[in-house]
Amino acid sequence: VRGAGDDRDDATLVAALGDGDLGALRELYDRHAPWLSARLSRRCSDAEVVADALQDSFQVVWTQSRRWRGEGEVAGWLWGIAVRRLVSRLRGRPQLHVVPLEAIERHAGTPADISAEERVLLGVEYGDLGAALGRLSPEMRAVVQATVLDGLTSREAGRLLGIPENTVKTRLHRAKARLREDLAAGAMEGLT
Amino acid sequence: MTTATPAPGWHADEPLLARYLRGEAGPALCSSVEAHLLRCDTCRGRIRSLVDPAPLGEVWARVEESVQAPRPSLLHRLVRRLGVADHDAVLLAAAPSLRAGWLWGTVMALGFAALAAASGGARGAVFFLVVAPLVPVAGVAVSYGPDLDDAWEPTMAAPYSSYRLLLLRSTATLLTSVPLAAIGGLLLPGSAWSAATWLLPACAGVALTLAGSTWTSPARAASAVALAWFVVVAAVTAPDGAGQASLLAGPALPFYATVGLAAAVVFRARSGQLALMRRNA
Repeated sequence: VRGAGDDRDDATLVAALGDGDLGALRELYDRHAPWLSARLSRRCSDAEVVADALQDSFQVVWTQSRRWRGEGEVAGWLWGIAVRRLVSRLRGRPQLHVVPLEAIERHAGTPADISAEERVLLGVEYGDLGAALGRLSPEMRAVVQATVLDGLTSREAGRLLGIPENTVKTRLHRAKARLREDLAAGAMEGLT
Repeated sequence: MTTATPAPGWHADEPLLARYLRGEAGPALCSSVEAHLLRCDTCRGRIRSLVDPAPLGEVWARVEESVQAPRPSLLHRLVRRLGVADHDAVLLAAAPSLRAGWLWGTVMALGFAALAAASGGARGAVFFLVVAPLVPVAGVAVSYGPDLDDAWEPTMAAPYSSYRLLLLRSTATLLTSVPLAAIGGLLLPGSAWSAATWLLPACAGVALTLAGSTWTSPARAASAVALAWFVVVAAVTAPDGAGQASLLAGPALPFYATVGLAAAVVFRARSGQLALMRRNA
């Protein structure tokens, strides 16, 4: 799935979609499908559902490229579409849960294992939040991930996780309180 | 690179990305990698070299096929948005009564009839009275059957109930022709009520056409209904145009309702005949 290499930037490619440029779609797919697919797989363990969601996403990108307002990163816009397509594919299929976070936990390294580079990554993106996030229960973390990090509404997060909307709200509320306690001072602006 | 990175020089290395892909990065690391990927083209390129290209290639083939497929017509999409199932929407959108040509024909016929009625006094009113109830009947006549339906051949081959198709198409016909005829009726002199009373004979006519179509083609059934209607109108109308009022007066209305209901019952009871006729066609 490697394109010939198009030197146009993402925003130009999205603009070209409106003129029916299939090559532009192909190039966007080559650039973004791999990580979108990987990230979707972290949300849903069923490979077929992930593939369907990915297909839906690029169909939406093709038909609704005019909705791109040219602000921010194309990647963020694509993820917004992809995670919503996944939620919509999961609707009415509560048996397909997200990747169990406990399984991830088993393989996760202890803080001592984290390389200097990873430490920087954590520092750049979230500061102390990373450690606090790691201390949350898997259920609460899933809710924080879906709402705060993936940008879903409570209703969408509920569909993704297979739990009622109100449960999402309660868990998010509790998770925020826990994180606040954990992060003594006001390092939490991003979450409130 | 195509996008700027906020922290130049810092990237997720391949072992870290590989751990992320295997689901072995902890939740915090996972989130960090994901947030970084949103903004870093270099790392997106790295992850591309780590994932299996085969499944992605398959998904691309499906995307390419679907975006190159012909787009469903505007009508098809509209009908589908109203909650009609996709396969029903195809058959509905192919209904001749919904096509622009047919709609224009209806508008013209009713327009002339209403114009004649407005300018010609009693005689004109008779003219409209004769035409308006037959518009939905004619719509049903061409909505099903080999005569005027372009989609007839594929319809024949489809494992689809004729009864259901005929009802579906008739509904579409009523939805398009009745409002048009109602607008025409509003142009008539006299109260709005008198303009609406023709709806009852129109419904009776449609029901009779449907019932008749279990014996013969819808076009023939509609012709018979139209002929009968002409005879009735001619019989009650005096040469000076008087008498037509009695056709739409109170006492006549229960008669139309009875005829319509009876025809509907007959149609339901004989619906099995439709499938037989299709097989013999």
